[in-house]
Amino acid sequence: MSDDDLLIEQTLAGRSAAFGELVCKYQGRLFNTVVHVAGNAEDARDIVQDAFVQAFLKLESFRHNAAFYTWLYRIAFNTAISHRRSRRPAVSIEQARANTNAEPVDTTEGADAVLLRKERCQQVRDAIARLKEEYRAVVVLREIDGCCYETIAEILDLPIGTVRSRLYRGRMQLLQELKETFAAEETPGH
Amino acid sequence: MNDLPEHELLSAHLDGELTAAEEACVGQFLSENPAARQLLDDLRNVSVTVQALPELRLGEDLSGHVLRQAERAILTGPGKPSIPEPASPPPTRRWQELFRRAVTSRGVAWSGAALAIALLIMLSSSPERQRERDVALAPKPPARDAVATAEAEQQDVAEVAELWAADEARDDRLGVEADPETKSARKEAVTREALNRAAAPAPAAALPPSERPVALPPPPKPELAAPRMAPAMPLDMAEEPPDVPRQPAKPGQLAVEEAEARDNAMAAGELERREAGIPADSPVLLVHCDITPEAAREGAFDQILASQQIVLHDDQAQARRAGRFARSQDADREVGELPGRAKRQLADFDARERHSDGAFDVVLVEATPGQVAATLDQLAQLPDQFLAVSVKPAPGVASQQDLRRFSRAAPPAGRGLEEPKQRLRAAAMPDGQPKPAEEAKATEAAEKQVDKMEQRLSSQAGEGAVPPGRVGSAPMAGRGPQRFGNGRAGYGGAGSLQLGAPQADAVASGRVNGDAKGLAPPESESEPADQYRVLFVLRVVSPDLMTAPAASSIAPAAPSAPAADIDGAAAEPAPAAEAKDDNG
Repeated sequence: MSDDDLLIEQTLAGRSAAFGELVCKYQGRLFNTVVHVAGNAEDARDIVQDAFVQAFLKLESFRHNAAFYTWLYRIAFNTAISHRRSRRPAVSIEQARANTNAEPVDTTEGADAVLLRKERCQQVRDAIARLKEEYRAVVVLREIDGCCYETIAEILDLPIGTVRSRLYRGRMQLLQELKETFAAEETPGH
Repeated sequence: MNDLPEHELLSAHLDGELTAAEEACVGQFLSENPAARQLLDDLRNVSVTVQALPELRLGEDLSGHVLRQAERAILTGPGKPSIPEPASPPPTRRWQELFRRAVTSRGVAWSGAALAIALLIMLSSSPERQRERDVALAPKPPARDAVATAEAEQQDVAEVAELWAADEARDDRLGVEADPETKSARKEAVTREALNRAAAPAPAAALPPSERPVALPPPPKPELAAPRMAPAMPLDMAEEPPDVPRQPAKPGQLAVEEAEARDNAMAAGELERREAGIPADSPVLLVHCDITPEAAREGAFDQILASQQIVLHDDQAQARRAGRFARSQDADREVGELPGRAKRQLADFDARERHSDGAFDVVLVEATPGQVAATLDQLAQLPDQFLAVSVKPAPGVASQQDLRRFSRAAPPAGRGLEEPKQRLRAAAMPDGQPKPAEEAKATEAAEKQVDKMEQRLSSQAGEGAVPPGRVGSAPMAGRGPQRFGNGRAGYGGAGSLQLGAPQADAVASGRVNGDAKGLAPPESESEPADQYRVLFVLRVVSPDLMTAPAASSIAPAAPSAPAADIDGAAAEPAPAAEAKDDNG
């Protein structure tokens, strides 16, 4: 029995603190993934919290034939999709980055280099945010969270072939976006 | 660049997600196609660029928020867990019902009161008021920590509600039905009275909060229920009329209304809490139960709850088994520090307690009507362990009214009318197995006779007037537990048909063996889905101390019965004895 299974058993037996441990274990990873799907940190936080709440309420329906985090991600992505459709349009992830102070500053790096790196990061995030929703979820799960195709297929309830196809298309769209962005930067006058 | 199937393979090749055959195909494609190699490099760069993004951190621990929100979801309903979840009404109906309630004047009044309560609690809650409370949630996962916290935070509301309930109980005792405006004004007056008390120096707490018996009210606190929307009344209105002599509590008479007032106060407190924002739609059913010391030690009550999937937290169940069941003797000191009316209540309650072992416990559970009915049914089937049961539905909650049938007094006084009922039925159905139509007719006739007998006995025993249409459903001291057949195996069944009031109504309307609300077994699809809270007040009583008057005193009072007659009931022969006399 894995650690997660043990914590789940304890939760179902009435020790809610065990579920708190699961929350602590996965909240960071889930947030880092969901924030790229939700588009902003505030929504991402709400989605992550809602996902954990839903997981807690439906914990008895969890079948142990999948990893807990896969099941949790599935809940989170469904929540994120409905949340994104019903809420305000996503704002820049730059705000999230600023709010979370996510990027540690390399003190050996020059100020210009730091600025450039941050700007590049933001351009990449913006490009991800402009992806079609169906591509974005696959790209984020693969590139940000490092999920294998099978896991992505399980989380998004898609055939593996569709995952492969969407990932390719998403990467191609990103490539196009970033090429244009970087080309514009390198053009004289920028 | 045109999308080719091979290009898609290139992307998967980057991720190492190709089969051996596909890898071979891609290798050949790359070796023959420089553009493919360039594309592969571009895709790799994109992948590396995205993967190089710094991690965004949440910066806070969500576990507390998650558990609290989950608890709220469980309590308020929409996120009801998946475990025993009977069929619920469509969401639209539920919202319509909520809206209908919200727009009524009562709903507006309560909403205002709830808002004020919430603000008061928020402004002045302190940790010292947190007391233990047993709360069992039927559904898993229980997540009880959050429940306990939320309840402790709002505990003080019960104090004012208790004072209000005491006035209500006094009205019942005097047989006076106050009009709604008077009730509202009285509540306001009580509120102000408590505010005045709060302004005075508070008495020192005799016990640390954790050691106080659960049922005892806390010391006066400034947090109060907001007055209801009613004209202000003088403070004196809350006081007992001077021209009404107070009946001293007699041994065996138990001054049951005082204990009920306390329990009702707790329930009213719960209702206040619900009005304050958390669960808005769950009235409290009160169940008094006399339990033998042996059954208490063996955890018989917990076992019954567990059998109905009403889960008590291990810690609390263990705490009860470990002796929290035993009432602290120091509670008497607290009684001495209470203000006048509450002190009298507790003094009378103590008079009652002298007839028991002096131990009691309060268990608050939340369960579906089916679970509650099944629990009460189990209590009814264990008269050797649960000597007497008194069920007090929340006023105006139709689905709870039928549960009165589970009320029964102790065995000596509780067998009252069952024998005559059975004889009457047997006389009406001499063949033993009549046809359905004959059965309905015979049982209806028998029931009418029994109802007449019950009505007469109720009157003689001092239970007061009972509305004609509800004769059968009025609680009676001599009424034994009844099981109602509904044609389902394992839950009564037609063969064990014993008609009570709801069934008598059903018979009268041609619905013999039909499903009556609240009578279905837990797994029934026809039962109401909403959960409500049940407050079990368990009193440890030795069977040898359980005299007939004492037992009869915990039988519930009819809502419309003048309570003054209850006082007189002790002087009259017990209803059961009357029943026996009546039947020779």
